[in-house]
Amino acid sequence: MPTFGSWVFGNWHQGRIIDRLAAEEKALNDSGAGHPLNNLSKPSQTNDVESSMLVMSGVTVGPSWWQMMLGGWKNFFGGEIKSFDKMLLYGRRKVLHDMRVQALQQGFDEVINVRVETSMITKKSQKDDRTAGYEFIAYGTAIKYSRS
Amino acid sequence: MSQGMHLSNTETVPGKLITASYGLVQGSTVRAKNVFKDIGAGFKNMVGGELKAYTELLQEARNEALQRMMLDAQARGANAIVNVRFATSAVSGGAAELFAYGTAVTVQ
Repeated sequence: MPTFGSWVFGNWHQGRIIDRLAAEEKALNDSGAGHPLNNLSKPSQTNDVESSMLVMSGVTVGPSWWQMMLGGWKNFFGGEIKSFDKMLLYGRRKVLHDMRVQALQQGFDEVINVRVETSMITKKSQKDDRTAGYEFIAYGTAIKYSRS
Repeated sequence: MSQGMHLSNTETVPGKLITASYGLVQGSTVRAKNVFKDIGAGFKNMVGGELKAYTELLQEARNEALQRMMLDAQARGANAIVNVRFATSAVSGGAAELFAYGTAVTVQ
């Protein structure tokens, strides 16, 4: 019964936060905001750099019990575990979106050398199959060019 | 950027020149990543989605690791750290170590 609840509420809740993120991204794009993130190793312009700063954003996401159960079965058969994809894709998008918002709000012209890293949150014990989480972090160097 | 220290994850601090290098500096924190503070967090995994308790916990841990790295660099007389990298590794007992490292330099 809890697993059924997990399927119903999990789908509903995760669908809701994915839609919310999509709406935020769309609103930002529609407002004409720039795309300051890149993974170049040097500033892209030759103007003088006025200031720079390390910026980071992080999020931790987890699949629902139902998705973990499906994942466990799929593990038996092999192949792509689609049920996990949903939250992992959301995590990565969220972390890059948060960094983009942070850079635009603080007036940075671009964020170079953006790296995204994932780490898994371990289970409490061997038998525990109800705890799972994945941490995503994105970090890069934000640059402000001088206005002369 | 506390204590006026410049941080960058590129080879140089953009717009500045490196005049001296002091070697690798690091800062780390060990946190019990899989200890939920309350039942609510355990329930969160039932529906999945963002685990806010963890997000905040790990953010604090990361900031602490960065602070320790900056103190290490300051002790050597540096005013900037370049090529900052993060690493997370599992330690026995279900805890995880958050590790920040970089090269301490002086820039002008």
